Amino acid sequence: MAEQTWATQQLLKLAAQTPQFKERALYLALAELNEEQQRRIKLAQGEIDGRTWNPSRW
Amino acid sequence: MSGGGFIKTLVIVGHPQIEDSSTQQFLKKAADLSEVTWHPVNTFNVEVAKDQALIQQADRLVLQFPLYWYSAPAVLKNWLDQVLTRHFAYPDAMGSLVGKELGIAVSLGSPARNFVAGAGENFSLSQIMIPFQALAHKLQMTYLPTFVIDQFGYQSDEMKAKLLIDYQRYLTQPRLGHFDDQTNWLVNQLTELIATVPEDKKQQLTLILDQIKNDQSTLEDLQMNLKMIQDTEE
Repeated sequence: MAEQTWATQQLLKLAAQTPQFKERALYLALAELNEEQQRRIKLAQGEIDGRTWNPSRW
Repeated sequence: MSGGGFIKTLVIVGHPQIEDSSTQQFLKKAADLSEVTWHPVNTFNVEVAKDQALIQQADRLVLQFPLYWYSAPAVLKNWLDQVLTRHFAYPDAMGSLVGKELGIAVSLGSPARNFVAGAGENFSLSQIMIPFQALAHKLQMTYLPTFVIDQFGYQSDEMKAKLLIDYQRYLTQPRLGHFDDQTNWLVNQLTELIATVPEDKKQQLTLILDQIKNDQSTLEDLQMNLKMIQDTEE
């Protein structure tokens, strides 16, 4: 798994400390969302690098 | 129905014993949202005009039920037969459902993985739900992917937490399956929560909210750049 962002770490900590079910569920969903954001950012950056790579500049 | 809008949802819960079902009681609490109307159908006595009015006010209809012999329980089938009169529903008559969305939230006693060709149940849920898809097609509705709740009684606390949010999103997120709408939905929930918490927690949650919004715009920028590059390649 990719390294966690500060926000994801905070959200997982909050989830572990929160007894209310609905609030805890929201923190877990936000942590998952933030991880997915990082994954998509990396993918998009990778695709940009791949598409802009020019063999003549090897 | 754009990404930022609110949609009104009518959940029609067809179950002969709603009060005794732990699944339905869980979902009822989850559905306690301002845009959602929870409408239990547990008898064969139907108030047709009243229920037709409920349908007319909604943008999204969700038929929710436990799977009984590969179909909806008899109370729900009866409700559909009574309420969706030809005059009310047919597109060439009143066409009251035209342009609305139809979702199915089905609970299963056996694992969802069994519902695939060659596995235990041998038929997929998409196949089993075809009568509802045909209904949506006939009435010119948009048919949504089915929401499946399987083996609720066996789910861990963490699985139930995920179920809660996924179900709430199924009821109220504008475009299901769009990551940007999912982000906006969760951002709205967090913003609402921030308004209710004490000051120290407010600061912490606001910083988290800012990072999620920043990541969202970073992603948007990257995707825009990517689209420009793709366009020049063509």
